[in-house]
Amino acid sequence: MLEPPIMEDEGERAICQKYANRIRAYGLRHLRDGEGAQDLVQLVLLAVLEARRAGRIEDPSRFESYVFGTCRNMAMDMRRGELRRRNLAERATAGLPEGYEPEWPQVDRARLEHCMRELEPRDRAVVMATFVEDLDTDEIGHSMKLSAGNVRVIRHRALARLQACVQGGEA
Amino acid sequence: MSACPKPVPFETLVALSTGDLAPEEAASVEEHIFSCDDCAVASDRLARLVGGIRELIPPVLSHALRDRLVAKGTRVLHTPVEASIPARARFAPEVDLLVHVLRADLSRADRVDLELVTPEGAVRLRFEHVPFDAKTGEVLIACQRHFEAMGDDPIFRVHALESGEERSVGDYFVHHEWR
Repeated sequence: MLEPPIMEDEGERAICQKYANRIRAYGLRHLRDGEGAQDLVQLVLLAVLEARRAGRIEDPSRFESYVFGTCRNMAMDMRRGELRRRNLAERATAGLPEGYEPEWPQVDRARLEHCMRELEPRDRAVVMATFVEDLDTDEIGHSMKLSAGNVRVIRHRALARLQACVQGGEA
Repeated sequence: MSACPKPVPFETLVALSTGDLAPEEAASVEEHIFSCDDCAVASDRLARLVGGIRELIPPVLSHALRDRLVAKGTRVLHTPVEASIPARARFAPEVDLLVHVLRADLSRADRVDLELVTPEGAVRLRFEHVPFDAKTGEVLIACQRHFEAMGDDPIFRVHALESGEERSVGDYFVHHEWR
């Protein structure tokens, strides 16, 4: 059973602020599910804070590695369905420092749609096939008669343009 | 905070997000991101962009994506549309998404492109390599409620590439009622 926090200090809040987005980004890559990624944040942060409170982190100078390892193992458990995550995540939230609220700023959807329209048709097709249709690089290359290397170059250049565009630059 | 001496290149972050890195390299990059403030910011920015893209509903849907949207609870109104025959579609309050099912013989198509054309004949936007179902001869156009702000109903102009030759499949007209 999860215990309430023994102490809620600035240090814990700072840890949460520092690692929440890193854990969430990891979760999005490995779980492909925004809700799952947010659950992962709560679970990992609580596990790390509990280990810190209990003095179980043997080498504090390798704290980042401890967080990363915890994150990797919990994401693996979630993928295998070994964590009944929703209940645990809700309980984990109660064990995090008071005043800590994760923030997930979203990309402005209208702006993103505008930026997508500004892309070249082929670039847009590669981006949509990758992230909306969930096709892998080889599948996209096959359907668009491009080499896998070409798909990768088109994709990362298109994403760089999109990123600049959504941040207010030019597509 | 000192700057990262060896920032992860943007293309590597992209390859990480698409699963294109070898497992050992992916693990090494991910561990670095956890320990590096600069790279964590860059990774988070990309994750937010990719997350935003994943939430988009593309103007042309594959049948698999349409099925996933329906399975998630999206309420879809399908409107069959034949080339050159005007159709009507009403965005009733209980509908989340209009899907116009453009029908044609696409059995020999290697690739399908779509243009959105203004009533005056100007190409407003071109989509290449759009999803299509060769067997059923269908291209699925997704129309969202906020498209009302785009003004006049566009003409959907479909082209098919067959054995290296482009063929004009037809123009499709849908009159939208937004209420």
